[in-house]
Amino acid sequence: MLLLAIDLQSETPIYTQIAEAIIEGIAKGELVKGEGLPSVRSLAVDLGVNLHTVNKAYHLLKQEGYVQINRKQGVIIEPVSFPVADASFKQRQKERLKPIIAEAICRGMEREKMLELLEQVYKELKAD
Amino acid sequence: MTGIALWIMLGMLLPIFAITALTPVMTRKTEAFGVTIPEQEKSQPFIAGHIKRYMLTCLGLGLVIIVGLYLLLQQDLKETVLVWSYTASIFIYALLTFVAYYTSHRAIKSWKQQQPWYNEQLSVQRVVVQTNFHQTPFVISIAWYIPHLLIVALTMAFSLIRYDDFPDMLPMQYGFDGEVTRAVEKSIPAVLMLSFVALAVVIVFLFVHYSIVKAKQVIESHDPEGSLERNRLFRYAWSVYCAIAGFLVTLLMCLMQLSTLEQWDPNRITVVALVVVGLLIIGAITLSLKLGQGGSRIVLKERKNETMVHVADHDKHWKAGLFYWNPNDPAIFVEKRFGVGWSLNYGNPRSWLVLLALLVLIAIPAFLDK
Repeated sequence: MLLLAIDLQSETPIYTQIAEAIIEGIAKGELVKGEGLPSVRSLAVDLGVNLHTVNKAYHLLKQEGYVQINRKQGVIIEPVSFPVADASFKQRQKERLKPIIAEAICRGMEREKMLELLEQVYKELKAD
Repeated sequence: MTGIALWIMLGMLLPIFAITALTPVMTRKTEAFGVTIPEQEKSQPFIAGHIKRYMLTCLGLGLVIIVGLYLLLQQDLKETVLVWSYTASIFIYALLTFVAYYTSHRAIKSWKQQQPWYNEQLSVQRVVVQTNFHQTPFVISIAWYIPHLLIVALTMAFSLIRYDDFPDMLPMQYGFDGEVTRAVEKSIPAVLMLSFVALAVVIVFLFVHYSIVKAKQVIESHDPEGSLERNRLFRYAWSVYCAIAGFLVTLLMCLMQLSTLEQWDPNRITVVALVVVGLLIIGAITLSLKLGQGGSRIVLKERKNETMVHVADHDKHWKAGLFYWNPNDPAIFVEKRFGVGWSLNYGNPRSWLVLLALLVLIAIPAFLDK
Protein backbone atom coordinates (compact mmCIF):
# COMPACT_ATOMS: atom_id res chain seq x y z
CA MET A 1 0.00 0.00 0.00
CA LEU A 2 1.30 3.36 -0.97
CA LEU A 3 0.30 6.91 -0.19
CA LEU A 4 0.87 8.48 -3.57
CA ALA A 5 1.51 12.21 -3.45
CA ILE A 6 1.71 14.58 -6.40
CA ASP A 7 2.38 18.29 -6.47
CA LEU A 8 0.04 20.15 -8.81
CA GLN A 9 2.28 23.21 -8.78
CA SER A 10 5.54 21.40 -9.61
CA GLU A 11 7.49 21.89 -12.84
CA THR A 12 7.80 18.13 -13.15
CA PRO A 13 4.92 16.81 -15.28
CA ILE A 14 2.25 14.97 -13.29
CA TYR A 15 2.67 11.70 -15.21
CA THR A 16 6.37 11.69 -14.34
CA GLN A 17 5.52 12.33 -10.70
CA ILE A 18 3.08 9.42 -10.65
CA ALA A 19 5.57 7.04 -12.30
CA GLU A 20 8.40 8.12 -9.98
CA ALA A 21 6.19 7.78 -6.89
CA ILE A 22 5.28 4.23 -7.90
CA ILE A 23 8.93 3.27 -8.53
CA GLU A 24 9.80 4.77 -5.15
CA GLY A 25 6.99 2.76 -3.57
CA ILE A 26 8.45 -0.42 -5.07
CA ALA A 27 11.96 0.43 -3.83
CA LYS A 28 10.67 1.10 -0.33
CA GLY A 29 8.69 -2.13 -0.31
CA GLU A 30 5.38 -0.28 0.04
CA LEU A 31 4.27 -1.82 -3.23
CA VAL A 32 5.03 -5.51 -3.60
CA LYS A 33 5.35 -7.77 -6.63
CA GLY A 34 1.98 -8.62 -8.12
CA GLU A 35 0.14 -5.95 -6.11
CA GLY A 36 -2.78 -4.37 -7.90
CA LEU A 37 -2.77 -0.69 -8.76
CA PRO A 38 -5.95 1.34 -9.16
CA SER A 39 -7.55 1.46 -12.60
CA VAL A 40 -6.74 4.46 -14.77
CA ARG A 41 -10.13 6.04 -14.14
CA SER A 42 -10.12 5.36 -10.42
CA LEU A 43 -6.66 6.87 -9.88
CA ALA A 44 -7.50 9.85 -12.11
CA VAL A 45 -10.70 10.48 -10.12
CA ASP A 46 -8.94 10.23 -6.75
CA LEU A 47 -6.10 12.51 -7.85
CA GLY A 48 -8.38 14.85 -9.74
CA VAL A 49 -6.25 14.72 -12.89
CA ASN A 50 -6.90 13.88 -16.53
CA LEU A 51 -7.29 10.20 -17.47
CA HIS A 52 -4.61 10.57 -20.16
CA THR A 53 -2.11 11.67 -17.51
CA VAL A 54 -2.55 8.47 -15.50
CA ASN A 55 -2.59 6.39 -18.68
CA LYS A 56 0.68 7.95 -19.74
CA ALA A 57 2.26 7.21 -16.35
CA TYR A 58 1.16 3.56 -16.47
CA HIS A 59 2.47 3.11 -20.01
CA LEU A 60 5.78 4.63 -19.04
CA LEU A 61 6.01 2.17 -16.15
CA LYS A 62 5.07 -0.70 -18.42
CA GLN A 63 7.71 0.30 -20.93
CA GLU A 64 10.33 0.36 -18.18
CA GLY A 65 9.19 -3.04 -16.95
CA TYR A 66 7.77 -2.08 -13.56
CA VAL A 67 4.13 -2.91 -14.16
CA GLN A 68 2.00 -5.21 -16.30
CA ILE A 69 -1.24 -4.09 -17.88
CA ASN A 70 -3.69 -6.93 -18.32
CA ARG A 71 -7.21 -6.87 -19.60
CA LYS A 72 -8.48 -8.95 -16.69
CA GLN A 73 -6.48 -7.98 -13.64
CA GLY A 74 -5.93 -4.38 -14.66
CA VAL A 75 -2.62 -2.81 -13.74
CA ILE A 76 -0.35 -4.80 -11.44
CA ILE A 77 3.22 -4.42 -10.20
CA GLU A 78 5.50 -6.71 -12.25
CA PRO A 79 4.90 -10.07 -10.49
CA VAL A 80 8.08 -11.99 -11.36
CA SER A 81 11.18 -9.88 -11.69
CA PHE A 82 12.11 -6.33 -12.47
CA PRO A 83 14.49 -5.54 -15.32
CA VAL A 84 18.15 -5.74 -14.31
CA ALA A 85 20.65 -2.89 -14.17
CA ASP A 86 22.41 -3.73 -17.42
CA ALA A 87 24.98 -1.70 -19.32
CA SER A 88 22.46 0.47 -21.11
CA PHE A 89 20.66 1.21 -17.83
CA LYS A 90 23.95 2.19 -16.20
CA GLN A 91 24.76 4.42 -19.15
CA ARG A 92 21.40 6.15 -18.77
CA GLN A 93 21.80 6.58 -15.01
CA LYS A 94 25.19 8.13 -15.66
CA GLU A 95 23.65 10.66 -17.99
CA ARG A 96 20.93 11.42 -15.46
CA LEU A 97 23.46 11.94 -12.65
CA LYS A 98 25.58 14.35 -14.67
CA PRO A 99 23.56 17.54 -14.11
CA ILE A 100 23.09 16.68 -10.43
CA ILE A 101 26.82 16.22 -9.80
CA ALA A 102 27.73 19.17 -12.01
CA GLU A 103 25.56 21.43 -9.93
CA ALA A 104 27.07 20.12 -6.71
CA ILE A 105 30.59 20.80 -8.06
CA CYS A 106 29.63 24.34 -9.02
CA ARG A 107 28.51 24.92 -5.47
CA GLY A 108 31.74 23.56 -4.11
CA MET A 109 30.35 20.36 -2.68
CA GLU A 110 33.06 17.85 -1.90
CA ARG A 111 33.15 14.27 -3.13
CA GLU A 112 32.72 12.84 0.39
CA LYS A 113 29.68 15.03 1.07
CA MET A 114 28.20 13.91 -2.23
CA LEU A 115 28.75 10.24 -1.37
CA GLU A 116 27.30 10.82 2.10
CA LEU A 117 24.17 12.23 0.52
CA LEU A 118 23.93 9.30 -1.87
CA GLU A 119 24.29 6.89 1.04
CA GLN A 120 21.56 8.69 2.97
CA VAL A 121 19.06 8.63 0.10
CA TYR A 122 19.87 4.99 -0.62
CA LYS A 123 19.17 4.03 3.00
CA GLU A 124 15.89 5.93 2.92
CA LEU A 125 14.69 4.16 -0.18
CA LYS A 126 16.05 0.63 0.19
CA ALA A 127 13.50 -1.77 1.62
CA ASP A 128 14.66 -3.92 4.54
CA MET B 1 -57.34 21.37 10.30
CA THR B 2 -57.03 19.79 13.72
CA GLY B 3 -56.02 16.56 15.38
CA ILE B 4 -53.50 14.03 14.18
CA ALA B 5 -53.07 15.44 10.67
CA LEU B 6 -51.95 18.77 12.12
CA TRP B 7 -49.40 17.18 14.40
CA ILE B 8 -48.10 14.99 11.58
CA MET B 9 -47.65 18.04 9.36
CA LEU B 10 -45.77 19.91 12.08
CA GLY B 11 -43.88 16.79 13.21
CA MET B 12 -42.46 16.26 9.73
CA LEU B 13 -40.72 19.62 9.99
CA LEU B 14 -38.78 18.61 13.11
CA PRO B 15 -36.26 16.28 11.38
CA ILE B 16 -35.66 18.88 8.65
CA PHE B 17 -34.94 21.53 11.28
CA ALA B 18 -32.87 19.13 13.39
CA ILE B 19 -30.65 18.03 10.48
CA THR B 20 -30.11 21.63 9.35
CA ALA B 21 -29.17 22.82 12.84
CA LEU B 22 -26.86 19.86 13.50
CA THR B 23 -24.97 20.02 10.18
CA PRO B 24 -21.90 21.97 11.44
CA VAL B 25 -21.16 19.30 14.04
CA MET B 26 -21.64 16.44 11.56
CA THR B 27 -19.04 17.73 9.08
CA ARG B 28 -15.39 16.75 9.17
CA LYS B 29 -13.15 18.39 11.76
CA THR B 30 -11.14 19.75 8.86
CA GLU B 31 -14.10 21.70 7.49
CA ALA B 32 -15.95 24.68 8.90
CA PHE B 33 -18.82 26.12 6.85
CA GLY B 34 -17.29 24.81 3.63
CA VAL B 35 -13.79 26.13 4.36
CA THR B 36 -10.84 23.80 4.98
CA ILE B 37 -9.15 24.43 8.32
CA PRO B 38 -6.52 22.60 10.37
CA GLU B 39 -8.21 20.02 12.57
CA GLN B 40 -7.36 21.69 15.90
CA GLU B 41 -8.93 25.01 14.80
CA LYS B 42 -12.49 23.72 14.82
CA SER B 43 -12.72 23.84 18.62
CA GLN B 44 -11.15 27.31 18.84
CA PRO B 45 -13.49 30.10 20.08
CA PHE B 46 -13.83 31.81 16.69
CA ILE B 47 -15.10 28.76 14.81
CA ALA B 48 -16.98 27.37 17.82
CA GLY B 49 -18.76 30.73 18.14
CA HIS B 50 -19.88 30.59 14.51
CA ILE B 51 -21.15 27.05 14.94
CA LYS B 52 -23.08 28.02 18.06
CA ARG B 53 -24.60 31.09 16.40
CA TYR B 54 -25.64 29.08 13.34
CA MET B 55 -27.23 26.35 15.44
CA LEU B 56 -29.14 28.86 17.58
CA THR B 57 -30.33 30.71 14.46
CA CYS B 58 -31.62 27.48 12.92
CA LEU B 59 -33.34 26.38 16.12
CA GLY B 60 -34.90 29.84 16.68
CA LEU B 61 -36.17 30.02 13.11
CA GLY B 62 -37.56 26.51 13.39
CA LEU B 63 -39.42 27.40 16.55
CA VAL B 64 -40.91 30.56 15.00
CA ILE B 65 -42.08 28.61 11.94
CA ILE B 66 -43.61 25.78 13.97
CA VAL B 67 -45.51 28.16 16.27
CA GLY B 68 -46.58 30.30 13.31
CA LEU B 69 -47.80 27.31 11.31
CA TYR B 70 -49.55 25.88 14.36
CA LEU B 71 -51.56 29.07 14.77
CA LEU B 72 -52.24 29.30 11.04
CA LEU B 73 -53.30 25.67 10.64
CA GLN B 74 -55.87 26.07 13.40
CA GLN B 75 -57.71 28.68 11.36
CA ASP B 76 -60.46 27.47 9.12
CA LEU B 77 -58.62 28.01 5.85
CA LYS B 78 -58.84 26.35 2.46
CA GLU B 79 -56.61 23.31 1.99
CA THR B 80 -54.68 24.94 -0.89
CA VAL B 81 -53.87 27.93 1.32
CA LEU B 82 -52.60 25.57 4.00
CA VAL B 83 -50.44 23.61 1.55
CA TRP B 84 -49.01 26.81 0.13
CA SER B 85 -48.15 28.36 3.47
CA TYR B 86 -46.61 25.08 4.61
CA THR B 87 -44.44 24.82 1.47
CA ALA B 88 -43.58 28.53 1.60
CA SER B 89 -42.41 28.29 5.21
CA ILE B 90 -40.04 25.44 4.30
CA PHE B 91 -38.60 27.58 1.49
CA ILE B 92 -38.25 30.59 3.77
CA TYR B 93 -36.51 28.40 6.34
CA ALA B 94 -34.11 27.08 3.69
CA LEU B 95 -33.37 30.58 2.42
CA LEU B 96 -32.75 32.13 5.84
CA THR B 97 -30.58 29.25 7.08
CA PHE B 98 -28.59 29.54 3.85
CA VAL B 99 -28.03 33.24 4.57
CA ALA B 100 -26.83 32.30 8.08
CA TYR B 101 -24.53 29.64 6.58
CA TYR B 102 -23.14 31.93 3.90
CA THR B 103 -22.43 34.74 6.40
CA SER B 104 -20.32 32.35 8.47
CA HIS B 105 -18.70 30.90 5.34
CA ARG B 106 -17.54 34.36 4.23
CA ALA B 107 -16.37 35.32 7.71
CA ILE B 108 -14.32 32.14 8.12
CA LYS B 109 -12.87 32.45 4.63
CA SER B 110 -11.46 35.92 5.33
CA TRP B 111 -10.43 34.92 8.87
CA LYS B 112 -8.45 32.02 7.39
CA GLN B 113 -6.35 34.35 5.24
CA GLN B 114 -5.10 36.17 8.35
CA GLN B 115 -4.00 33.04 10.18
CA PRO B 116 -0.29 32.27 10.63
CA TRP B 117 -0.75 28.81 9.07
CA TYR B 118 -2.46 30.20 5.97
CA ASN B 119 0.61 30.88 3.82
CA GLU B 120 2.04 27.51 4.58
CA GLN B 121 -1.15 25.84 3.46
CA LEU B 122 -1.38 27.96 0.35
CA SER B 123 2.04 26.81 -0.79
CA VAL B 124 1.05 23.19 -0.49
CA GLN B 125 -0.62 21.99 -3.67
CA ARG B 126 -0.17 18.34 -2.92
CA VAL B 127 -2.77 15.73 -3.62
CA VAL B 128 -2.34 12.48 -1.72
CA VAL B 129 -4.16 9.22 -2.45
CA GLN B 130 -3.96 5.67 -1.21
CA THR B 131 -3.30 3.25 -4.06
CA ASN B 132 -5.31 0.32 -2.66
CA PHE B 133 -8.33 2.28 -1.42
CA HIS B 134 -10.67 0.84 -4.04
CA GLN B 135 -9.08 -2.62 -4.18
CA THR B 136 -10.88 -4.14 -1.21
CA PRO B 137 -14.65 -3.70 -1.41
CA PHE B 138 -16.05 -1.41 1.29
CA VAL B 139 -19.76 -1.63 0.52
CA ILE B 140 -22.25 -4.48 0.77
CA SER B 141 -22.81 -6.63 -2.29
CA ILE B 142 -25.19 -5.34 -4.91
CA ALA B 143 -26.92 -8.73 -4.63
CA TRP B 144 -28.68 -7.34 -1.53
CA TYR B 145 -30.91 -5.49 -3.98
CA ILE B 146 -32.31 -8.72 -5.44
CA PRO B 147 -35.08 -8.92 -2.77
CA HIS B 148 -36.19 -5.42 -3.72
CA LEU B 149 -36.58 -6.38 -7.36
CA LEU B 150 -38.26 -9.66 -6.44
CA ILE B 151 -40.92 -7.88 -4.38
CA VAL B 152 -41.68 -5.50 -7.25
CA ALA B 153 -41.84 -8.34 -9.76
CA LEU B 154 -44.10 -10.43 -7.50
CA THR B 155 -46.40 -7.49 -6.80
CA MET B 156 -46.67 -6.76 -10.53
CA ALA B 157 -47.40 -10.40 -11.36
CA PHE B 158 -49.92 -10.73 -8.53
CA SER B 159 -51.69 -7.52 -9.54
CA LEU B 160 -51.95 -8.64 -13.16
CA ILE B 161 -53.32 -12.05 -12.19
CA ARG B 162 -55.92 -10.42 -9.94
CA TYR B 163 -56.54 -7.53 -12.35
CA ASP B 164 -60.28 -8.20 -12.49
CA ASP B 165 -60.62 -7.88 -8.71
CA PHE B 166 -59.34 -4.28 -8.63
CA PRO B 167 -62.11 -1.68 -8.21
CA ASP B 168 -63.25 0.14 -11.37
CA MET B 169 -62.05 3.49 -10.06
CA LEU B 170 -58.54 3.59 -8.62
CA PRO B 171 -57.66 6.18 -5.96
CA MET B 172 -54.63 8.25 -7.00
CA GLN B 173 -54.47 10.98 -4.40
CA TYR B 174 -55.66 11.42 -0.84
CA GLY B 175 -56.47 14.63 1.00
CA PHE B 176 -55.43 15.54 4.54
CA ASP B 177 -58.43 13.75 5.99
CA GLY B 178 -57.76 10.51 4.15
CA GLU B 179 -60.58 10.88 1.63
CA VAL B 180 -59.87 10.26 -2.04
CA THR B 181 -59.37 13.54 -3.89
CA ARG B 182 -58.57 12.06 -7.26
CA ALA B 183 -59.37 8.72 -8.88
CA VAL B 184 -58.83 7.30 -12.36
CA GLU B 185 -60.52 4.61 -14.36
CA LYS B 186 -59.00 1.17 -14.14
CA SER B 187 -56.29 0.33 -16.67
CA ILE B 188 -53.14 -1.78 -16.60
CA PRO B 189 -50.78 1.22 -16.19
CA ALA B 190 -53.00 2.64 -13.44
CA VAL B 191 -53.09 -0.67 -11.57
CA LEU B 192 -49.31 -1.08 -11.83
CA MET B 193 -48.58 2.59 -11.18
CA LEU B 194 -47.09 2.12 -7.71
CA SER B 195 -44.97 -0.85 -8.85
CA PHE B 196 -43.37 1.45 -11.41
CA VAL B 197 -42.74 4.01 -8.69
CA ALA B 198 -41.23 1.22 -6.56
CA LEU B 199 -39.00 0.22 -9.48
CA ALA B 200 -37.87 3.83 -9.84
CA VAL B 201 -37.12 3.86 -6.10
CA VAL B 202 -34.96 0.74 -6.43
CA ILE B 203 -33.07 2.31 -9.35
CA VAL B 204 -32.48 5.50 -7.35
CA PHE B 205 -31.11 3.51 -4.40
CA LEU B 206 -28.90 1.43 -6.72
CA PHE B 207 -27.62 4.69 -8.13
CA VAL B 208 -26.80 5.96 -4.63
CA HIS B 209 -25.03 2.65 -3.93
CA TYR B 210 -22.99 3.14 -7.10
CA SER B 211 -22.07 6.69 -6.10
CA ILE B 212 -20.88 5.43 -2.68
CA VAL B 213 -18.58 3.00 -4.50
CA LYS B 214 -17.26 5.54 -6.99
CA ALA B 215 -16.92 8.68 -4.87
CA LYS B 216 -13.48 10.25 -4.79
CA GLN B 217 -11.33 9.47 -1.76
CA VAL B 218 -10.72 12.23 0.76
CA ILE B 219 -7.52 12.07 2.76
CA GLU B 220 -7.02 14.10 5.93
CA SER B 221 -3.66 15.69 6.81
CA HIS B 222 -3.66 14.24 10.26
CA ASP B 223 -3.45 10.43 10.34
CA PRO B 224 -4.15 9.93 6.62
CA GLU B 225 -4.44 6.16 6.79
CA GLY B 226 -6.77 6.30 9.78
CA SER B 227 -8.98 8.80 7.96
CA LEU B 228 -9.33 6.40 5.03
CA GLU B 229 -10.10 3.49 7.33
CA ARG B 230 -12.86 5.52 8.97
CA ASN B 231 -14.11 6.45 5.51
CA ARG B 232 -14.38 2.78 4.53
CA LEU B 233 -16.51 2.08 7.61
CA PHE B 234 -18.61 5.14 6.81
CA ARG B 235 -19.27 4.02 3.24
CA TYR B 236 -20.08 0.51 4.41
CA ALA B 237 -22.61 1.74 6.97
CA TRP B 238 -24.37 3.98 4.45
CA SER B 239 -24.50 1.25 1.81
CA VAL B 240 -26.26 -0.95 4.39
CA TYR B 241 -28.61 1.92 5.25
CA CYS B 242 -29.46 2.43 1.57
CA ALA B 243 -30.27 -1.23 1.02
CA ILE B 244 -32.55 -1.30 4.10
CA ALA B 245 -34.17 2.06 3.30
CA GLY B 246 -34.69 1.00 -0.32
CA PHE B 247 -36.27 -2.25 0.83
CA LEU B 248 -38.68 -0.56 3.24
CA VAL B 249 -39.79 2.05 0.69
CA THR B 250 -40.23 -0.61 -2.00
CA LEU B 251 -42.25 -2.72 0.37
CA LEU B 252 -44.41 0.27 1.28
CA MET B 253 -45.16 1.08 -2.37
CA CYS B 254 -46.09 -2.54 -3.07
CA LEU B 255 -48.34 -2.68 0.01
CA MET B 256 -50.06 0.50 -1.14
CA GLN B 257 -50.74 -1.02 -4.53
CA LEU B 258 -52.16 -4.17 -2.96
CA SER B 259 -54.21 -2.18 -0.47
CA THR B 260 -56.43 -0.96 -3.32
CA LEU B 261 -57.02 -4.56 -4.32
CA GLU B 262 -57.63 -5.88 -0.81
CA GLN B 263 -59.61 -2.79 0.25
CA TRP B 264 -57.42 -2.22 3.30
CA ASP B 265 -58.17 0.71 5.53
CA PRO B 266 -56.29 3.75 4.06
CA ASN B 267 -55.65 5.03 7.59
CA ARG B 268 -53.77 1.88 8.41
CA ILE B 269 -51.56 2.31 5.32
CA THR B 270 -50.92 5.92 6.38
CA VAL B 271 -49.76 4.70 9.79
CA VAL B 272 -47.42 2.16 8.13
CA ALA B 273 -46.08 4.90 5.83
CA LEU B 274 -45.43 7.22 8.77
CA VAL B 275 -43.65 4.47 10.70
CA VAL B 276 -41.43 3.70 7.69
CA VAL B 277 -40.60 7.38 7.09
CA GLY B 278 -40.01 7.91 10.82
CA LEU B 279 -37.63 4.93 11.01
CA LEU B 280 -35.67 6.09 7.97
CA ILE B 281 -35.28 9.61 9.35
CA ILE B 282 -34.27 8.42 12.82
CA GLY B 283 -31.81 6.00 11.21
CA ALA B 284 -30.30 8.70 9.00
CA ILE B 285 -29.89 11.19 11.86
CA THR B 286 -28.41 8.54 14.17
CA LEU B 287 -25.92 7.40 11.52
CA SER B 288 -24.96 10.99 10.69
CA LEU B 289 -24.34 11.88 14.32
CA LYS B 290 -22.55 8.66 15.21
CA LEU B 291 -20.29 8.45 12.18
CA GLY B 292 -20.00 12.10 11.15
CA GLN B 293 -19.33 13.14 7.57
CA GLY B 294 -16.84 10.78 5.91
CA GLY B 295 -16.62 8.79 9.15
CA SER B 296 -14.91 11.66 10.96
CA ARG B 297 -16.63 10.94 14.27
CA ILE B 298 -15.63 7.26 14.32
CA VAL B 299 -13.01 6.43 16.95
CA LEU B 300 -10.74 3.68 15.71
CA LYS B 301 -9.30 1.21 18.16
CA GLU B 302 -5.58 0.52 18.14
CA ARG B 303 -4.47 3.46 16.06
CA LYS B 304 -0.78 4.04 16.52
CA ASN B 305 2.13 5.78 14.76
CA GLU B 306 -0.12 8.47 13.41
CA THR B 307 1.56 10.31 10.57
CA MET B 308 1.04 13.72 9.07
CA VAL B 309 0.92 14.73 5.41
CA HIS B 310 0.21 18.15 4.00
CA VAL B 311 -2.58 18.22 1.45
CA ALA B 312 -4.03 20.92 -0.79
CA ASP B 313 -7.20 22.52 0.58
CA HIS B 314 -9.18 22.69 -2.74
CA ASP B 315 -11.15 25.68 -1.36
CA LYS B 316 -11.10 27.44 -4.71
CA HIS B 317 -13.04 24.59 -6.32
CA TRP B 318 -15.81 24.75 -3.70
CA LYS B 319 -18.16 27.54 -4.74
CA ALA B 320 -19.79 29.05 -1.64
CA GLY B 321 -18.32 26.02 0.13
CA LEU B 322 -21.27 23.99 -1.17
CA PHE B 323 -20.76 23.24 -4.87
CA TYR B 324 -17.68 21.48 -6.21
CA TRP B 325 -16.73 22.93 -9.58
CA ASN B 326 -13.55 21.53 -11.11
CA PRO B 327 -13.64 20.95 -14.88
CA ASN B 328 -10.15 19.38 -14.75
CA ASP B 329 -11.30 16.67 -12.36
CA PRO B 330 -12.80 13.58 -14.04
CA ALA B 331 -14.67 12.75 -10.80
CA ILE B 332 -18.46 12.85 -10.83
CA PHE B 333 -19.21 11.97 -7.20
CA VAL B 334 -17.49 13.88 -4.42
CA GLU B 335 -17.98 13.99 -0.67
CA LYS B 336 -20.05 16.96 0.49
CA ARG B 337 -18.35 19.57 2.62
CA PHE B 338 -21.28 21.03 4.53
CA GLY B 339 -23.55 18.09 5.21
CA VAL B 340 -23.46 14.32 5.21
CA GLY B 341 -23.23 12.25 2.08
CA TRP B 342 -22.07 12.88 -1.46
CA SER B 343 -22.55 15.53 -4.09
CA LEU B 344 -21.57 16.08 -7.72
CA ASN B 345 -18.67 17.75 -9.49
CA TYR B 346 -20.76 20.34 -11.31
CA GLY B 347 -17.77 21.29 -13.45
CA ASN B 348 -18.00 17.90 -15.16
CA PRO B 349 -20.62 17.70 -17.94
CA ARG B 350 -21.21 14.03 -17.04
CA SER B 351 -22.62 15.15 -13.69
CA TRP B 352 -25.33 17.09 -15.49
CA LEU B 353 -26.17 14.01 -17.55
CA VAL B 354 -26.51 12.09 -14.27
CA LEU B 355 -28.86 14.75 -12.90
CA LEU B 356 -30.89 14.74 -16.10
CA ALA B 357 -31.19 10.95 -16.02
CA LEU B 358 -32.46 11.09 -12.43
CA LEU B 359 -34.99 13.78 -13.29
CA VAL B 360 -36.29 11.76 -16.24
CA LEU B 361 -36.58 8.68 -14.02
CA ILE B 362 -38.61 10.58 -11.44
CA ALA B 363 -40.75 12.18 -14.15
CA ILE B 364 -41.70 8.84 -15.80
CA PRO B 365 -44.29 7.81 -13.14
CA ALA B 366 -45.78 11.31 -13.32
CA PHE B 367 -46.19 10.91 -17.10
CA LEU B 368 -47.70 7.46 -16.75
CA ASP B 369 -50.18 9.00 -14.36
CA LYS B 370 -51.46 11.44 -16.99
